[in-house]
Amino acid sequence: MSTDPKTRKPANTAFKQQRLKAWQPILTPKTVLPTFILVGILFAPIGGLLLWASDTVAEVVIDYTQCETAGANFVPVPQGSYSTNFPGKVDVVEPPAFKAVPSVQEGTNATWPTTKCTVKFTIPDTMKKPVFVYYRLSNFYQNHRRYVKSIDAKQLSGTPRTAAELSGGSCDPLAVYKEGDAQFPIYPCGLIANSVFNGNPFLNPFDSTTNGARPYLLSETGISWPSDAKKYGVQTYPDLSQIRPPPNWIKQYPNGYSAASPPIDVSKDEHFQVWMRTAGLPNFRKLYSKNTDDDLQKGTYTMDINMNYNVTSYGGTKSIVISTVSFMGGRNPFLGIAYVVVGVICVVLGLVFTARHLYKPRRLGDHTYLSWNQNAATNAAMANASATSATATGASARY
Amino acid sequence: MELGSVHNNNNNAPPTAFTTTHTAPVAAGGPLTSESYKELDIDSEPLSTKPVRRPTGWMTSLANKFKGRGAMVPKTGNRIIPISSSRSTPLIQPETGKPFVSNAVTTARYTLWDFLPKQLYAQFSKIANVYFLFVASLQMVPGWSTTGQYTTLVPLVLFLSIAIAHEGYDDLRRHRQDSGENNQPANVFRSYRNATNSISSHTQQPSTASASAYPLPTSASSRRPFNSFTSESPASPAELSITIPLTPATVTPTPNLAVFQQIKWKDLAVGDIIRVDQNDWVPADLILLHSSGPDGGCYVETAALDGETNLKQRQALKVTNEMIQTPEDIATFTGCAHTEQPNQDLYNFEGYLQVGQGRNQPRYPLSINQILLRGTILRNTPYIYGLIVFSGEDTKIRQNGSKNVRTKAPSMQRLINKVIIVIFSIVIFLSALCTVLSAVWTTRNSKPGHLAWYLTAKNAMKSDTASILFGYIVLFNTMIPISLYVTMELVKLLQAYFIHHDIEMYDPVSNTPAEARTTVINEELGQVSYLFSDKTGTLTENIMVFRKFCVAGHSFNHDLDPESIIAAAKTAQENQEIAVSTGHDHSADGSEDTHRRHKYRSKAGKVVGKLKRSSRHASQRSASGYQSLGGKDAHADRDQSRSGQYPDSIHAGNMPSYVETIVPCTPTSQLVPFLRSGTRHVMADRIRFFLLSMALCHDAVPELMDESDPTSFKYQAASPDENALVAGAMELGYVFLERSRGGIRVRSMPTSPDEVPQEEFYEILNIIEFSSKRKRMSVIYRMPDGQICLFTKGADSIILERVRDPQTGLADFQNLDTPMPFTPDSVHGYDGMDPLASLEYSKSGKSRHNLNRSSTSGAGVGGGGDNAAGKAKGLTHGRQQSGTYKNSGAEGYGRSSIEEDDMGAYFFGQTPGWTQSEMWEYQQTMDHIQEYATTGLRTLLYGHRFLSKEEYSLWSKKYADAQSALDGRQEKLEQVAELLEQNLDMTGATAIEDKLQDGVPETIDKLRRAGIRLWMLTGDKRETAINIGYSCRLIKDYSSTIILDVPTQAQAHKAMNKAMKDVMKGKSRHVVVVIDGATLGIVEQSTELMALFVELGIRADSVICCRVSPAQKALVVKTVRARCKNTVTLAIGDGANDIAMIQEANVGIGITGKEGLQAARSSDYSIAQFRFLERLLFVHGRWSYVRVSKFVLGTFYKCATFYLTQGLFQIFTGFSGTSLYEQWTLSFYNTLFSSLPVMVVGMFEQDLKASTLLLVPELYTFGPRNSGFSLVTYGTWMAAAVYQAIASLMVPLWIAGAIGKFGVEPDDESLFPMGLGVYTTIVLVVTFKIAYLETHNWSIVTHITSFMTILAWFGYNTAYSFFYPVRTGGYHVRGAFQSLAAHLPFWLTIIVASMIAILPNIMAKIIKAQLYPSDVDLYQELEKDPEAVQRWKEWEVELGNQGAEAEGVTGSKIQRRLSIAASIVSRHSSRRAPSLSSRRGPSKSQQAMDANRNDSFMAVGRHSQDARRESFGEGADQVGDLWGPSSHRRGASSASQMTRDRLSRTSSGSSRDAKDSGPWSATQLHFPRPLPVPADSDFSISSTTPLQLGVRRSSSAGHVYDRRMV
Repeated sequence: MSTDPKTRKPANTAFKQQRLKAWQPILTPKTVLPTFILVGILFAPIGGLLLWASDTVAEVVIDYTQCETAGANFVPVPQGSYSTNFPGKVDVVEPPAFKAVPSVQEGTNATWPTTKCTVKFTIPDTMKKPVFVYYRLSNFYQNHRRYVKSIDAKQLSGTPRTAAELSGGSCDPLAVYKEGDAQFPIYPCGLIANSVFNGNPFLNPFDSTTNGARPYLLSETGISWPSDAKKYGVQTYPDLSQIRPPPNWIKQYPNGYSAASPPIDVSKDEHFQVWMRTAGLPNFRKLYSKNTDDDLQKGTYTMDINMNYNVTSYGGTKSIVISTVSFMGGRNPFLGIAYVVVGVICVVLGLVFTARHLYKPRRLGDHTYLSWNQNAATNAAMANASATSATATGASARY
Repeated sequence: MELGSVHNNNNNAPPTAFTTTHTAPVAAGGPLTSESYKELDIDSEPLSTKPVRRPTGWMTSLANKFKGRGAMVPKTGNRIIPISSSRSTPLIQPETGKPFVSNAVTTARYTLWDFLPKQLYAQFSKIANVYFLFVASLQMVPGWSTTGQYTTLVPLVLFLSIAIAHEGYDDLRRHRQDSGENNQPANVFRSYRNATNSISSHTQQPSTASASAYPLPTSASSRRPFNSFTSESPASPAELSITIPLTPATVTPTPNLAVFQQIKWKDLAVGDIIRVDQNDWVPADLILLHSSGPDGGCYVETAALDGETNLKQRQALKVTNEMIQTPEDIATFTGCAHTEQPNQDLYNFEGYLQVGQGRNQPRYPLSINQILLRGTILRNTPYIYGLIVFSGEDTKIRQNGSKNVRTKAPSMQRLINKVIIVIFSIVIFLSALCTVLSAVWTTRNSKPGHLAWYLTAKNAMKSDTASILFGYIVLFNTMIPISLYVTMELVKLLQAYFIHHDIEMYDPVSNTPAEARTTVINEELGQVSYLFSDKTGTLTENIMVFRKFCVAGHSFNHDLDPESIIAAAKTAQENQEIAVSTGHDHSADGSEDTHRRHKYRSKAGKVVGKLKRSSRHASQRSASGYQSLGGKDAHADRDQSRSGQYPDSIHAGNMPSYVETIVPCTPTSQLVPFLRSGTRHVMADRIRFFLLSMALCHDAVPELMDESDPTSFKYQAASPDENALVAGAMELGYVFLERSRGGIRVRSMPTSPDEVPQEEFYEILNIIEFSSKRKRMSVIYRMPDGQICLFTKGADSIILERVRDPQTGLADFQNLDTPMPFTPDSVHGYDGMDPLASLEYSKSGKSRHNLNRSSTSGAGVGGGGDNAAGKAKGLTHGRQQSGTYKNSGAEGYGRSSIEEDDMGAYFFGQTPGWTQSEMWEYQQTMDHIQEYATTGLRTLLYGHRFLSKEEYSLWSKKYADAQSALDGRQEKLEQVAELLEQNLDMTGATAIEDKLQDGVPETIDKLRRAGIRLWMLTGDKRETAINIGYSCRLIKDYSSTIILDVPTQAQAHKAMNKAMKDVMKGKSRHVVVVIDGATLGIVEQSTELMALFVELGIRADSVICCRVSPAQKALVVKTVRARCKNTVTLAIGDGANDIAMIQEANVGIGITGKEGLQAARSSDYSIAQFRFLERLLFVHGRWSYVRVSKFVLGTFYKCATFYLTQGLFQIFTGFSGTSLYEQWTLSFYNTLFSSLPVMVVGMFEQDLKASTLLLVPELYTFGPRNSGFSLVTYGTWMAAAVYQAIASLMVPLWIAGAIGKFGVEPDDESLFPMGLGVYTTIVLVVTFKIAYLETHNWSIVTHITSFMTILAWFGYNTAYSFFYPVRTGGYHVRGAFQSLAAHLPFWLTIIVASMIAILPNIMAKIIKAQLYPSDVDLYQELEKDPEAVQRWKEWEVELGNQGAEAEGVTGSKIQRRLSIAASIVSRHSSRRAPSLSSRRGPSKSQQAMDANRNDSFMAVGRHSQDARRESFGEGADQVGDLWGPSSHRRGASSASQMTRDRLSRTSSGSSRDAKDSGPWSATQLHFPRPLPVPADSDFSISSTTPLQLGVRRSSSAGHVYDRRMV
C-alpha cells in the first residue's frame, strides 16, 4: 500500500464542524408572551376590518325550492328560507314571496310544459353595481368522484369522439347510448353535462313592480371563466344523427340531434361552461347573470323562474342569490370572525401565561426538574425495573 | 495427473531430518524416545480427506448461488501442481475437470447482463417497494385511481432508478478497480522451443532487466507457444479450456529459450512460475521457489491482508532456492507441489514439494513461510521466483473477502416498520371506513324518493365496492412516504460525512480521521446501552515497553529504553540551539521512537499541571530540553541522565505500574555498569544469560534504520511484546544484529570495561512458533560453543507448568556436579519443618561465597537423560542452568573462580540472600510476577534447557516428520513440541508495560454516567484484566467484585444465583462481575446458565470477561443482544480477534490501532482513539439519533397531515374518493414541497450543543430510553397531524364554502382553488412546524430550505397556472392561481388557517416546556444563560484538572488494587505450585515473611473495612474517607458541594444519587491530589496467603466466589 504522505485532517470549516451560525431560540416567557400579545393585536383589528368589509356587501338569498307548492297567489317565503343583508340600518320591510303558475317553456328546438315560479322581493336600499345573480344548490355533490370525472375533455373541445372511443372512458355511465346492438356517442357525454342546470331557468329581467323603477336588466355573458372558453369548441360530428343528447336533455331535444336541432354550441354557452366547472363542495352557487352597469335601485322586484330542475328528489334546495361585492369580494363574515377569534385567543393566552409566570415562575434551567434529579427513589425503582426488563437502561441510580 | 492417490513413502525421510536410530527409553517429560512418538500419530500421509472449511450454510450457498459464484465444489484432498515450465495447457482442476479458476478477480457484483435483474430483485426485496409497486399497479387500473394513473409509478421509478444508478455506479467503480488490478503486468516464465534467435540476455539479473525488454522470439506471441492456437493476444480462459491437452511427449521438449514474458495478472494460471520484483504486489498465492535475498529469504508487507505493517519474512526451501538460480534453471526444473485446497486461513499453509519427477521423490514440507499471498508486497528483496498455487478467487485474500456478514439494521428500523404497519393499518382502516361510508351514502342517496339522480344514468345507484376501496387505498397510500428510504439514506450519508470530518475525532499522530463505513446505523450510536470493549489496543495503546525483569528472584526496573534516548540525543544535538533559543520544536521529524518519547513527556507534562491535552509544543519542548542534556556518549551517560530526568513522580502520575511497593527494584541504570564492570558474580552471569535468552528467543527481524549508524536497529516482530523484549535486550547490551536462515547474530555485552563487544553466531536448529493455543514459543539453538539449548518463553502460567520442580533446600550451585539425590520424601520433608532448610537459611549470609563456585561449563549437559531415567518425576537431573554456559569470547561466567566483588555485594548483599535456595528464587519470582501483573504489566516467563545431542536429534527427527505432515500438522507439531518443552530451568521473567490510551478512564467514567454498561472482553489474564479495570475506572474503589471461577455447571449455577440475589438486594452500589474464559466455557454449554450469566451481567454495573476467545466474545455479545432485544449493543476493538464481536454487536467500532486495520475494516465505524468514543456517541450518536428520529417523525407527520386532509375531505364528497388536489400537484408533495425542511432537520439539527452533551453525559440517556422516537412520540406527532389536517382543511373550506370563492370574480368554487388553499396552508404549517417548531437549531440552511420550499410551491403554481393544459376535466388549473393570488382574501384565509393550525401546537410546546420541562428543555435554557455558559467554561478547565488529577489518583489506588488482585493472583498461583507455598513450614525467612504478611493482612483488612463502609455507606461523602485524612476529604467534598450549588443555584435535589450522578456532581472531580504513596515496603503480596486474602475480600464484599475458597 502506498503511503499517502498528505494529511487526512478534516478541514476546519464551519460547515464540516457543524458550527454554522444558528439561532437556537427557546420558548421562554420572555419571548413567548410578547409574541402572543403581538399576534393578538395584529389579528383582531384585521378581523374587525374584514367583518366590516363583509358587512358592506348587500345580499339577498331566497330559497325557492318550495315555490311549486305555493299556488297561483303570492305566499311569503317561509322564515329561514331567505336571508338578506344590507349595510347600514336597513330593515327588510317585507319578506319575499313566491307563487307558481303552469307555463310553457320555449326551448330553441322544442317547447314543453313547465311551472313558472315568480319570486317577489324587496330591495330596501340601493344595491351598488356590480350586481350578481347566482343560483345556489345545496346537497348537490358535484364533487362526487363519479360525477367529477364524468367528462370528456376532447369531445368538448370539438373533437368528434366515436362511441367506441367513449365507451368505457371517463364519461361512463353516460358515454354512449345503446339502441339494440348499435352504440351512439352521447354529446356532450358524461354526468355533468347531463345534469346541467337546465333550460334558462331565470327569466330576465327583474321586473320592478313598485316605485316605477325600470326593469333591471341582467347580462348572461361574461359569466364564465375566460380560460374556460378555451376548453370548448363547436362540435364537429359529421353526422348529427349519429350522436345523441344526454338523457336529461330529452325535453330540449325530443327528437334527438339533427341539422334542424343541432346540439348546443358549448363554446358559446356560458351557462353550460359555468356548470361544467364543478364545485368543490356540495353546497355551491354559480353565477347566472350580472349587471355591471347599473345599481339595483331600492324597490320591489319580481323574477320569473322556470321550475325545470328537480332538487327535491335528492333532498336538495335551490336558491337565488343577488349580491354585490366589496373590495374583499362577496359577503364573507367568516374570514373576519376567524381573525377576531385568533386574535382574542392570542391575547387571552398571553395574559394567562403572564399570570402564571408572575404567580409561579419557573427559573430557566431549573435543576430540580432534571430527570435524574426528580426522584431518586423512583429512579432507583426504575433502574431496577429497567434491569428487569432490560429494555431501557437509563441513568442508573448506582453510580 | 494423479488425483488424490495415496503416496505411501514412509521411507522418504525429509532431507533436513536427522537420521538417527537413537532410542533411549525415558520417562515422560524426559528426553524423547521413539516410543513416545507412537502415540503422536505422526503420519506423513499427505492427503487430507476432510473437506476444506468453507463458509457454508444454506444462506451463504444461496447467496453465492444468487451472486453467481456458482455452486461450490466440495474440495477434498490435495491440490497437485506439477511444475513444468514447458506445459502448454492450463492445469485441470480434478474436481471440476476444468482449468483452475482464472486469476482474474471480480469484486464487482454484477455484469452488464445480470445487473438489472439482480438489482430489481434486490430493490423489490424491500417490502416498501413492493407495497408501492402494488399501489402503482392499482393506480394503473382505469377508474380506480383517484389520483391519476402514474403518480405513484413515476416517483417509484424515479427513486428506484436513483438507487439502482447508485449501485450501478458503485459497481462500475468496482469493475474499473478490478480491471485495473487484473490488467496489471506480471512477469511469467515461458520457455520456447522453436525460437530461431537465441537470447541469452535473460540470464542476467531479472530484476535489472525488464521483462518487456525481452523481444518475443516469434511474431506469434502466443501465450502458449506449443498449442495450436496462434491468437495474438493471450488466450482467454474460454479458449484455453477447450485446448486439447497434448500428450506429455509433445509437452516436454527441451526448451532452448527461457524468458520472462509480461502478461496481465488475469492471464496468470495455477502452475505458472512468475517473477515478482521488489515493491511489486504479489499477483496470486505463490510458493516461493527462489529469492534473491540472503539464503532464499524475502520480506513481504501484509498490510493489505491483515493490516500489520511490520514486514514478515518468507523463506524459500533450501532445495528450490539452490536449484533455481537463473531462468534456465526454471526451464529445467521439474517437480510437483502438493498443497491444501483453497481456504481462508491466512496464517497456516500445509503442503509439500517434490523435486524431480516421480512420486517417490523426497518431500519438502511447505508452510506459510514459503507462501507469498496475493495482496502482499515484496519488500527489501530484489526479486523472487514463485509458483502459483492459488489463483483468482482461490487466493486466500479472496477467500477471506467473501464472508457472509450479518447485515445490520438499526433497531429504529424495527420501530419504523412498526409505525409503517400502524400507518398501513390506518390506511386500510380509513379506506375500509370510507368504503363503508360510501356505501351508506350511496344507499341513502339511491333510495327512491331520495335519489341523487345526477350521479347515475339509471334510476338507481350501486356502489362499486372494489373500485371504491382500491381507490381509497390509492388515495391514502402515500401516507407511507415513498421517499422515506431514499431521503433517509441521504440524511444518514451527511451524518456520516460529519462523523468523518469531525476534527475532534481526528488523530494527528496516526493521521486518521474517524470513518463511518456504514451509514445505516448512525442513530444507533446515540442509543447504546451496552458497550463491549476489547482491552488491548482499545483501552490500552498496545505500545509495549520493556519495563522490568526478574532473574533469580531479583527484580530489575528498566524504566527507559535508551534507544530512544540515543535517538533523542542525536536529534537534540542537531536541534539543540534552535530548540533552546526559540523554544520551538524542530525535532518533530525525528524517529518514531522519539515521538513516542514525546508522548511520554507530554503525559508527564500534564501531570505536573499542564492542562491542555496532548499539548504538543509543551511536551516537545520539554523533550528537547531533555535531549539537550544528552551527551555524545549517550551510552555512557544515559543512565545518569535518565535517572535524573525521570523522577518518580512521573511514574506515579503516568502509570500505576511504576509504584513500587513490594520489593525495591534495582534500576538497570545501575545494573548495566555493574555487568560491564568486569564483576565476577554469579548473579551477573545469570542476568547475562537471561539477557542473552531475551535476545535469542524470538521471531523478530532486525532492520538497520541508518546505514551509517550500526546501533540504529529497529525490530520487526509479529507481536509488539516481542518487539519490546528484543529492543529491551538491545538496550541492555545484547544486540540482536541479524537473522539469516541458519541463525542469528548477537552482539553481546562485554563483561569488563576493557573488553569490546563480541559478535556471535547462534545457529537456529528449530523454531517452534507461538500460537494462541500454546501460549509460548521456543527456539532451539546451537550455541557458539556447540551446546544445544532450548529457549522458551511464554505466559507465566504455561511456563510454570513446564519448569522443573525447584531444587529444594539449598540452592545447589555448589552441588552442580553432584545432583542431589532427593526423593519425593525429602520434598515433603522440606515442606515440613525441615531443619536443614532453616539451617540453610541461617547460613545464607555465609553461603553466598560458596554459591559462587558454580560448576564448570558443560558439567550438567547430557546428565539429564541419565539422571532422569530412574528418578521420580519432578526431580531434576543435574543442573543445566545458565551458570554452566560458557560465553565464548568471554570468560566462563559460571566459573567457580569468579569471586564476588564489592559491586556484587552492593547489589545483592543487602537482600536476605541473593539466592538462598531455588525455592526462594521461585517464590520471589512468582511474587514479582504477581507484582508485575497487579501493576498492570504483562508478564512473560523465560525458561531454557540444555539438550544433549542425542536427545535433540531424536526429537528433531520427529519434529521434522510432523513438519512435513499435511494433515493436522499443527497439532502434531504442538504435540512434538510439548515433549521437549518440559523440565525447563527458569531463566527469568519479564514485564512489559501496556499503556492505557489517552483519556480512557475519563471516557469510561462518562460512559458510565451516560448509563452505558461496560463489558470488557479481553484475552488477557484475569489479574491484568482486573487491574486495567481499576486503572481505567471500570472498577471503582468501592466496587464489589464478583469473581466467577467455577469448574462445573452446578457450581456455576449456584454461584451465579447467589450473586444474583446479592445484586438484587442492592447491597452494593457498584458491582463488577469477573468471569474467565474457562468458566465462560462451562457456562456457555448450557443456554440456561448463559442466560443466567447474562442476566447477572445486565444487573451488574460492569462485567469483565478475561481469557476469552474471539468466538466467546461474539457469543457474549450475541447473548446480550438476544436478551435485550430493544437495546443497542456496541462492540469496540482493534484486532482480528475482535472482528467476530464487532460484527455481532449492533454497532461495531474498530480502533485503527497498532494491531492493524482488520477490525476497522469489518467495523461500522472506525476511530483512532478510544476516547473519541465519547464524542462519537455523545455528540454524533446523540445528534444522529435526534436527527433521524425527527426526520422519521417529520416524514410520517408531513405525509399524515397532508393525506388526512384528503380523507377528511371525503365527508364533503359523499365518500366517493375524490381527490382534493390535482393529481400531479398531489404527487409532488412529498418530493418538492415538504422534503427539504425535514431533510434539513435530519441533517443539521442540534438539540443541544456539542459542548453541553460532552459535559453532561447523563443527557445521553435520551437515546437508550428511546425518548426521540417511540410509539408515544409518534402518537404526539400524529395528534398534531390530525389536528392540523382538520384545521388546514376546515378553515379554508369553511371560509371558502361560506363565500363560495376567495373573493375571486367570476366565481370559482371548483375543486382546484379550494385544494390550492388547503394545500398552501399545509405547506406553510408543515414547513413551519418541522423547520422551526421542532428544530432547535435554526441555521442559515434552515431558513434557506424553508424559503425554497415555499418559493417552490408558489413558483410551481404560477408555472402551473400558465402552462397547465387547457383541456382537462375535474381540476380547472389554468389561470386559477393567477386570479387567486391577486385576491387578498385568499392570502388572509391561508394566514389565518395556518395560524389556527399551528397555534395549539405552539401552545402545547410552551406549556410542556414551562410546566413539565424535559432535560433537553432545561439544558437548552441553560445554554441560553450566559452565566451558565461561563460556568461551563470554567468546568472545562476543571475537567482538564481532573484529567491530570485522575492520573495521580490512580496511583494512590494501587494499594487497594494490589490487595484485591493479590488474592486472586495468589490463589491462581497456589493452584500451580502448591508445593511451593502452602505446605511450607515456617522457617526464619518464612517468619519474616509472615510478619510482612500480617502487615499486609492488616492493611488489606483496613481497606476492606473502608470498602465495606463505603459500599454500604449512606453518603457519597464517605467516599472521601478512603484515601486520605477524612477532614481533607470532607473539605474537598463540601467544596465540591459548594461548587455544585454555585453552579446550579439551587440546593435542592441533594439526594445521594443526585450528588453522585448529577451533572454537577463533582465528588470525583474535586478529589484532592492524592497523598504520595508511601514506599510501603512492608506491604507485600505473598503467594502464601491465598486463603486469608480471599476470604477477607469476600467478607468485605460478600461477593467473591471461588471454588477453592469454599
